Amino acid sequence: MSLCQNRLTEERKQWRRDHPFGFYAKPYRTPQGALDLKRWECGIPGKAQTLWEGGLFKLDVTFPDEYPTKPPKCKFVPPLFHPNVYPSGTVCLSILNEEEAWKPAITIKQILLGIQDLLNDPNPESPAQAEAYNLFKKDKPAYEKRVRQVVRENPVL
Amino acid sequence: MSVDIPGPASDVQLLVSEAKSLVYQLYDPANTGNPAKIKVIQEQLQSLQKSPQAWQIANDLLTDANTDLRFFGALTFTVKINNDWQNLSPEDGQELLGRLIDHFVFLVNAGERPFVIRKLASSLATIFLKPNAPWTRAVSNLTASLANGKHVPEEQSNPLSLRTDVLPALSERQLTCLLYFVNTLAEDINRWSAEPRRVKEERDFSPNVQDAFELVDWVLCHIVRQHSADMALPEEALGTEAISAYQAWLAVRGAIPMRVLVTTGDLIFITAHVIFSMKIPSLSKAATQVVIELVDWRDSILTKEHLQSIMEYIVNDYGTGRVAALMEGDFDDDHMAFLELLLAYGSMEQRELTKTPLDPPHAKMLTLLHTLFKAPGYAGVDDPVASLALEWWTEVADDIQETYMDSEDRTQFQPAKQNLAQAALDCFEKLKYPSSEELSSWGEDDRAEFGSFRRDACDFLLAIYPILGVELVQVFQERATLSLTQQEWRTFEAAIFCLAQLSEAVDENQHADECLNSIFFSSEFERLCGENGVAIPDKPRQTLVDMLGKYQSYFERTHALLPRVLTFLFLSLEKFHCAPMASRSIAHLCNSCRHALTAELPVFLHQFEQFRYKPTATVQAMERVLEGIAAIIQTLPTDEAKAQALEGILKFFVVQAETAREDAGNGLLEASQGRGHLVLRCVASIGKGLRTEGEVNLDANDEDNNPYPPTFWNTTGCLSQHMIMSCIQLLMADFPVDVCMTEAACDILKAGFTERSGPFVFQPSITRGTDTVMATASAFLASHSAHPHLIRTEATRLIVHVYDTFCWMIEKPECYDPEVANSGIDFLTRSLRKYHPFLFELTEAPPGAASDRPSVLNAVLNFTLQSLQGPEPLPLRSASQFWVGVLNLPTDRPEIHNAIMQCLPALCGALMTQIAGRCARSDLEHLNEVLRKVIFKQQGAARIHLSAALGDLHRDHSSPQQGANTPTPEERQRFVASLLAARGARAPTNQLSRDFWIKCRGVSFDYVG
Repeated sequence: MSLCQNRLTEERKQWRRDHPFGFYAKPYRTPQGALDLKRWECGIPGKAQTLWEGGLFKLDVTFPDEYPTKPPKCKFVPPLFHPNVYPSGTVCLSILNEEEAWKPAITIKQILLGIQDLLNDPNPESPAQAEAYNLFKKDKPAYEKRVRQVVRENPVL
Repeated sequence: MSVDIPGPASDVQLLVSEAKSLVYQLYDPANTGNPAKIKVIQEQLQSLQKSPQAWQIANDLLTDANTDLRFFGALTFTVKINNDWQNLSPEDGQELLGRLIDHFVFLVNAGERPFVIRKLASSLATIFLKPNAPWTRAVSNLTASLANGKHVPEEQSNPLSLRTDVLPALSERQLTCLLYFVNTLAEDINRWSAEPRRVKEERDFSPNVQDAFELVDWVLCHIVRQHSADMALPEEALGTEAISAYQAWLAVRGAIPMRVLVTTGDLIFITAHVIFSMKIPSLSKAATQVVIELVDWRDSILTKEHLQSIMEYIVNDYGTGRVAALMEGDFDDDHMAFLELLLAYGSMEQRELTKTPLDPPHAKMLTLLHTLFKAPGYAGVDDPVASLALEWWTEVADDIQETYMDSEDRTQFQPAKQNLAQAALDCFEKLKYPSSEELSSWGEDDRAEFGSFRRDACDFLLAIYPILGVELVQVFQERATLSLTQQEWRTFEAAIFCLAQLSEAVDENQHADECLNSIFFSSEFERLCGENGVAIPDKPRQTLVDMLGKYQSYFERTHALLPRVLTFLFLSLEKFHCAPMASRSIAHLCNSCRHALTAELPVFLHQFEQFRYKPTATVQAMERVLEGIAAIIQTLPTDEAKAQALEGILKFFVVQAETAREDAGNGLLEASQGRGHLVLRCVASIGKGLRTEGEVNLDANDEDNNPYPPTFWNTTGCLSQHMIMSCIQLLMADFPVDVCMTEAACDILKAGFTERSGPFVFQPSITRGTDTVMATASAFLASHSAHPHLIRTEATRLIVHVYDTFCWMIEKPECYDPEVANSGIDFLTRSLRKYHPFLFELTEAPPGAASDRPSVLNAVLNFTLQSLQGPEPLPLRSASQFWVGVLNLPTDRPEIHNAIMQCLPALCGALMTQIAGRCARSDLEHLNEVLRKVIFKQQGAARIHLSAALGDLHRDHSSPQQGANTPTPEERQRFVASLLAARGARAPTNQLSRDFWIKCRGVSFDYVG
């Protein structure tokens, strides 16, 4: 098995053993039912006592062949209203950037927790979509209203 | 020695008293609620622990009558050893060790509490791991000292044999305390070996490893013998400490190279004792956890005989008793530990278990594994077993699947198939949803746990489907059909849930169509769907709505079912939990099957009329339903028929828009905005639904023809257009518009941009006045890009509008708005490709402008150059794209060439200042795009201007974010030379800029490290 596959098998094992409450993460299956370890379906809950509480946001994580040398790509499906999420849904976060803070030792759990933190703590230095960024900077009440709407549209089951 | 005499005795006594009083305060319950005070006390204590007198303080505290003080004494020794060991002479070190061992022996014999003993053990272990420690065989030396009643120098204890000379002399209590030390030592060694060290010290731990195992063996042997002889057992701590010591020293053995190996053979008996200990009630849990780990890691320590005795333990009365207890709802830790062992061993034997024939132990084990879904309670809520069992069976399925797919002879998988089918059926019972009364007593966590179990079950079903095939679908179909007849709704819900999960595997192909037919063509289902149908409770209705949404391909293939299914979905819109999914399915099915539904349109319109006043008629639900209905309207044969249906719907929204205006007039801001938003979103989604299927090629327009020919929609059928425009006008002009409404209004305009004719295709003159929103303006220009010359006036007006906002922001810096700047620049960038001739011809201020205003072109270019140097990230990015666009324009046109040449020095200046540490890290990649284009397109001029810009760097010290380091002239030259050598290639240019940026900012900004 390749390094990438080995690592992902181990990540899956670790996740099953210990994962933060309310999150889920599992590899997709092909239409034939076989596991596709390089594509995971994950769910990130909004943190308690934040605007995002009560929402569950679906995220697709795609691992390149060079993983863990290169980071996975994380994409909210459907794209999420958030200053650091590109209109395509891709998350902009330093630990997910090969040229910035990605390290092969970073686990899936750390990634998902990192993205959960990002939800309520956007980084205004790296805007990825104009819509959420402008509201966040200029009109906090409108921003918060939109976030609450997003949470309503993505309720925890 | 320095340990004793750090200063005058009286000073030391003062410090000791101070330390005592601080410790009392630290543990005083009155202070527990005062973290600030606790922090101050701790800081004072820490400074005492690091003081020269700390040895004496520690020694005094350790002999005090108060336990807390003794604990603090031991802790102080550890701190002081860590801080000051290197300052002690070898003799002082020896003496310190001797004294601590004396304390240890004394306290053990005096009946000291475990937490003090452990702390003191930790001080001893700290000495052991110091470089040049005067202690090599720590385990045996401490054992001998305990037997001797005081410290024995190591050279005297070495020849002793633990088993014969020393251990028999120790009491159970002494053995337990000795094991506290042995465990602490192993933990510290494991931590020590994991620490990165520059120079790896050569330490041979093998004698200690052997001694530790010998001690553990001796203790466990003793306990096992007592147990077998039915004699009283020692206190629980002795056995559990011995078992954890076994585990901890196995880790030491595995982690550190040794001169003398402890072989697997050496460990046969001790491992057997640990396995046996699973039968001793007081040790069962600890022993089982160790065995689970060995089994999980497939550890080579386990011999065939060991494995056999684990198997025997699992399937004999001990094991079955535990499983029986679990099935009665007793989820005690011991039973749960056994369950984990069963699953771990089961994983190891997975392939054996799914073959035939099975020997009696394996057969029995399999029976146990099949029992696990039968515990009482809801999975994850009050039954912790089912989730673990499900995970186990999923792993089995994944494993079998790998071999099954590659195998030619699939008959050998018959037993495996049967087992998986059995597990699916057992699991099915666990999927049944609680009644609403039960559910109301659940907390959030319970719901989440049960939901997570159902999600895992879906994964399991998808894993076994490739092995079991359509038979699996059939099983659930039968349950669904039967329970529907009997109105047994919990079973029906679970069966529909399972079928929904399997849709991923069967919806696209037609494997399960017959199964699905037998549910959906049944008369029961038809009755269920009818308007006065069977009263199905909310939860099964929700699951069914969800399931219908997942079988869209099936329903697209089976048109005969569409009317009843859509009727059911429309009725479900009234249920709070069903509305989001039902509206989504309605939108999708109406869209993809629109031609089969034309005849149903009156029914759906009627249902929509009922729905629009219901509380579940949210914006989201309404817009989806309308998109679906509009898609059907699009299939009507004549424009007249379409117009009639549309006008019927739009009438409602015009009235709503008027009401919104009234509300606004009465000061009901929120209500008016809410209603306004609903109107605009719904009208926009009608426009979306009305779009023709497939692509419309707008570019094919013959330029000579009139691109805005008269159509039905702008002549006789223009009422629809008027109604749409009046919605917009009612809600946009003189109305408290919010962002969401503006967006929706733009969506209405955009809906027709991709069409050639229809109610949403407006002539440019109609949409005038709505061009303030730049994104729509861009789309507007794009929609007319096949004939740019025809809308020269409109395009120029838009450009001049942008120019006005730019001038205004420059003249009144307090009004500068990055959002306006960004969208204005973005608009210009998008229009560059088709409309650049208009921009570059605007070399004068527009007529009527104030006399001191610059020309349009100059103002635009200057404003984008300024944005490139500004602190706002979005304008910086759009300005970068704008300049990339400008540099890509054909330079054979003199007006373009001249403009670029004129701006190049300023452009290079902006780029270099930013890259030299001023911009944010995330801006770099955007600036680099411009830099690459400059170098690629204007190589000769680039060298001159980039060098000049770098030469000017950091002359201006006022910039707030200017980098920490100023690069030398050589570094600057090298940077330009390397950039030019890279010729604008992406990767090297990015790397060079990043390195230069870090150099200017200072290394602390580098992520590495």
